[in-house]
Amino acid sequence: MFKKFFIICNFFIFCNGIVQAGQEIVAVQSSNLKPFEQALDGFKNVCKANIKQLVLSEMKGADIVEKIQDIDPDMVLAIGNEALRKVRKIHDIPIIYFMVLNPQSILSEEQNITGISLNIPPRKQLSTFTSALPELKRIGIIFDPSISGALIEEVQSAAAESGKILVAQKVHSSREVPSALLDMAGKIDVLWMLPDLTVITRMNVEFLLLFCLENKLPVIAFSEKYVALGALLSVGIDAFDIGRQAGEMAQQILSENDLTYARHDGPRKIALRFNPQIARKTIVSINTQIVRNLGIRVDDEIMKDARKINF
Amino acid sequence: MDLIFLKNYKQKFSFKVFSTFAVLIFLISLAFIAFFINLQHKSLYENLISNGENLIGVLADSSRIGVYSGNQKLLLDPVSGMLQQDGVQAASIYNTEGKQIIRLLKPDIHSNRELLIAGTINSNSDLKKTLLSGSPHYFEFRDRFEFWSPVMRKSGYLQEDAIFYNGHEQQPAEHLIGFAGIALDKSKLNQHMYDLFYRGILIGFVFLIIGFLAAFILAKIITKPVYQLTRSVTTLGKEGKFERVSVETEDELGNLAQAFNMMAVSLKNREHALQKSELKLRQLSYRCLKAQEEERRRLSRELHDGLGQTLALLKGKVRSIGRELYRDQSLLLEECEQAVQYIKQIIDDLRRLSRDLSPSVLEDLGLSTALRVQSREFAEHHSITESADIEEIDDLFSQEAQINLYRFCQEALTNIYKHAQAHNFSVTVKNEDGSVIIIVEDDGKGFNVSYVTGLAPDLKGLGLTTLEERARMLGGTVNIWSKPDLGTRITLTVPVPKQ
Repeated sequence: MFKKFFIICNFFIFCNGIVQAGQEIVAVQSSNLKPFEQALDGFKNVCKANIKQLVLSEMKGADIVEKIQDIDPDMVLAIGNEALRKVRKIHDIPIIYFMVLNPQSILSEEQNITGISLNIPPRKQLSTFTSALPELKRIGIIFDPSISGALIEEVQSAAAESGKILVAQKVHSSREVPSALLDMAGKIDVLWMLPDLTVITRMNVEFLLLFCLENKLPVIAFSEKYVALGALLSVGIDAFDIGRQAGEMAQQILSENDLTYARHDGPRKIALRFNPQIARKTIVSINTQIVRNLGIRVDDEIMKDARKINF
Repeated sequence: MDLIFLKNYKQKFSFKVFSTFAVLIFLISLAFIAFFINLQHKSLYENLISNGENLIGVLADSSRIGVYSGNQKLLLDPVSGMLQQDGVQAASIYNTEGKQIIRLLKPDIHSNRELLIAGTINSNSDLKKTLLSGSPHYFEFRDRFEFWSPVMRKSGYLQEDAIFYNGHEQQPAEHLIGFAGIALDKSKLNQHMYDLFYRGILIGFVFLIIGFLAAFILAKIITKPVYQLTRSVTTLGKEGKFERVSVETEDELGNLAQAFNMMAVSLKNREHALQKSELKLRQLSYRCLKAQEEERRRLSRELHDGLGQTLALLKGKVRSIGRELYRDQSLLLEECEQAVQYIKQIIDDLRRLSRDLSPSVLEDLGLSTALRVQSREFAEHHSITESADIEEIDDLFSQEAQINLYRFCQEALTNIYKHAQAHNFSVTVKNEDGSVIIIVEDDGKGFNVSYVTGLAPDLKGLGLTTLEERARMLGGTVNIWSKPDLGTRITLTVPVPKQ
């Protein structure tokens, strides 16, 4: 019995493999950034379909949609925000996005699009770094309500739950950030950088990090990029694992287990039953030199598993 | 002072050499000082400019956030920090409209001083136009420099991805957000320049002193052979002594010294030859004069003893013939008497000639008397008025010298007779200060002494030559004074030989 069951399972896996090997996927990438490549590698690690890579930064002026339609793949991958913006016009091919920040700001309930957001839920971030830095109580945040308003609500509730005090400063333009930070000086124990395009400018980042260093204020960032520049730690994503995650999603979709088709007026439309996900794996990166400079105690467990970054 | 310098310059070759070197060294020193000061000034100036440019760059950079956010608090630190820098008198920041955001002056600067722009930069001003070009600039004033720089910011991230990852975006663009200015005091530069100037002068002065010393030594070294040569030439010329000049160099001066040495040796040899020849000549002259004297003596003797006696006999014979003649032979008698007179005249002339040839009065009566007799007889014979003042000098000279003295006067008197056409003459002999001085003077027509003495010996006439030779033989000197129409004076000075 067991033997039969084993053979049947293998048969389905084999069929699945045959099915995948014959299928074609177009991967539209915003640019050649290393994290995007890593994510695609993770995808390929799981999904064995033929993948044709199109890099938008190398295809200036080309009509990517037309190109994709010419190819007529079984699936389209959108890696990065720009890629998603371009491919969302396609309605008759399943699209999986990953490495996209705030996908909800790009999409408007397209049925054929699903994927994995770059956003790490604030709750998770908060729990990670409060575990790492248990002694810190007052958390400062600078945000633009028009960009990060919804996020702040989540943050506030998460902070309240964990017994932390959130000191949030609203800004409506980049220029207001330095003043906002000056106002918060002495009132916070840590500054939490959110991926807010109004706040995060080159000028502001430079000022933020320098100011916090001078005032011995630890900075929690959302990307290892800032840890290398002087932030204390970041809670980020594992690009390869996101790719794997997307690959698993793709596998399932391509086996047509999660597709429904609707043809009303015009071209066939596809609806995915696979809901968008969040990254399942986070990576904590810590700047050990900043830890020493600020004299901050980091949780040993977190420290043990974290990626160590120096200037 | 100038006259002393000019005098030295004209008279001293070493001073000329030294002056030349000194001027050269002075010019080099001057050039060096000028070059040094200029170089240092340029270096200080450039350092100041470079420092200012660095400072304004720092201020522009550090004030970006403050200008960007419009937060004056964020500008306070960079601006007041800038004032701590050496030489910075004022610092200010402006927005893109040129409106002043912050302006600070150093505490010791009066607020009314026009440093940088207080208030707003005029939009039409050159400053604004220069700064809008996006590049730093500086202006130089009498007492300060003003450095200006645009304040720039980099553009923000265009895409969400860019805030997560490095290397995503292209090179960010830069945007002008304001201007920064600082005023840098020039007084330190000026102070440095003064110090430099004085140091340069001091160095130049030291260099000059050393240079002058070196020039002096060099001049001495260069001119030493010349002076040695000059000394040797002078010694040779004045004293006739030959001092060999040491040949220390192989250059033109060395060649000159060698040539001089050769010339001097040659001259010396010729001088010796000349002296030998002169000696021979003198010896010959002496012998001639001696022979002449002997010949005169012989002639005198023969005339006196031979011819004289014969004539005396003849006179006697004629007289006796006259005595034998009859009264009616008065004509014959007269002839005889005339003949006797003639013979007497001849005898007198003969005696005089004999005496002239060999003055026995010199041996008989002494030199002084002989000279008196000579003078008197000359005056009588030639009908010239005589004046004689002759001291006793008989025992002062040897026989030979006395003859020479006698002959000297004789010759001088002969010259008066031959050339002077004088009416009066005088002979003075005195013994003074160990010398006998004989002066023979006349009031005749005189002559041009330098012309006559400058004539070639064959044109000169034997008279003067004989006088000179006699004087030389006596070991004395002869001085001849004469002027046309003013007469002639011949002075013989003869040292009295030590007994």
